[in-house]
Amino acid sequence: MKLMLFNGSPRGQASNTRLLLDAFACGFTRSGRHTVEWVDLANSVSIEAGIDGLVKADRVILAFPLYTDAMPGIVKTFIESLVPLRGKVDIPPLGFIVHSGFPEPIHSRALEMYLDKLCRRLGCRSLGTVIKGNSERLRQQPPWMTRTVIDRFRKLGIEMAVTGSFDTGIQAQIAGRETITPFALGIFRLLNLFGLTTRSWDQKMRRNGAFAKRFARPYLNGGVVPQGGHWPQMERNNEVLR
Amino acid sequence: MGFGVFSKITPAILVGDGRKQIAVLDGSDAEISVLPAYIDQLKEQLLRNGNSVTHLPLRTMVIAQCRGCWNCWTRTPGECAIDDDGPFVCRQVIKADWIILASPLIMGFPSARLKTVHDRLLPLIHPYLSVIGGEIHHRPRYPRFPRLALLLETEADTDSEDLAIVREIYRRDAINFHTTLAAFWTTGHHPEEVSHEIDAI
Repeated sequence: MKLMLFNGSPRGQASNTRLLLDAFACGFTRSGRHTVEWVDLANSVSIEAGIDGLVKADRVILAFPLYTDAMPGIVKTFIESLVPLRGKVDIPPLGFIVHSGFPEPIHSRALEMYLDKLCRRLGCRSLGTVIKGNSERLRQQPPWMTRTVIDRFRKLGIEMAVTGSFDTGIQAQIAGRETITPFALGIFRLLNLFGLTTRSWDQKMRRNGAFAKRFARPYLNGGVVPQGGHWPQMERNNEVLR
Repeated sequence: MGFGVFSKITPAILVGDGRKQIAVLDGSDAEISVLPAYIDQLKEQLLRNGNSVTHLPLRTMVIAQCRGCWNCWTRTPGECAIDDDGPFVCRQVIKADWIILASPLIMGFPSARLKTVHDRLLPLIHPYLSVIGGEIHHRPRYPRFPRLALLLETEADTDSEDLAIVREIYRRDAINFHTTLAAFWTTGHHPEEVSHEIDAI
């Protein structure tokens, strides 16, 4: 079986998307009987070649991070490049991997509906969407912290080689709970109160000498840096949204 | 510090000095879309009703894809590192009362041109997280974000499911920008109707 992998991360090869796809590809090719072809959509030169390869593949996986609740612009560009293929060629079964920094899969569910409809539009079978949360720091984390997720994506690849589909059990394990439990949210709020949920951001900003400007608003009224960490107006907005 | 040198242009047309500032992010292609003509009519109507309109025809701008570098969160807070027309669009957006995301649907979703620009609005939100409606979302950077509206040109095969999906994606997106998807139109709505709706909210 020939598998075509499209990496839709704007970070290209240095991305969390690539890390997950590497694990998936490792599992898929384990038996030595199946092959994988790669395309990084961040490298626009390779997109045309990728479309040629897409129609010749047995399975296609398009993986990308969630950007503003949907696909990154480069992935949409790629999807638009498929317009000429509609109704003209048989497109192989198409699967998706969507990951985000948010912990809950619910953030990606609306996009999942779009991707399912996209397959119907293209006239191809949908293999479904694997949704992974909490992915932002994968590349920075030590191997012992990412072992479980890497192992799950490797197993997902192994199953793809055997059945030609995503294993729904592993898919569910990767997705985890649909929403955070009220108890966990309470803990999060408590940690938030003591500024403990912002530590990794704060560390990065301190390293870059940017911590003092963390609340900067450079695009309005010449930029104003509010003192402290409180946005009374923001809290009111949040009330409205709740 | 920028990633590259782009030819910067500022093609926005600001007209009027009205009670609501409306920025139209126009993700259409002038050659094949009815949107540019529609937006012209809408603009006239909005001005007649005493509003200000900033039309941003994205096709005339140089705006690169967000690279996920997060310099706008951790190195130069609130400021994008890419030296092109993206920061200009951010400035127009954050000072508006409404932003209308106008685009043809292509393969059931707004254009890549509009989505690329939308991705570049990231400096307008904050990396810190908070709980909204029982979910984790970003905190705002600015005290107020404009109301969001979608204006779509449908495709020949667009159905109610397509519209519902796009609406839901942008409804969720609005939560992360700490605003609401206040309106959802297609070019089937008369510009006068759209303008009145903006006035009524």
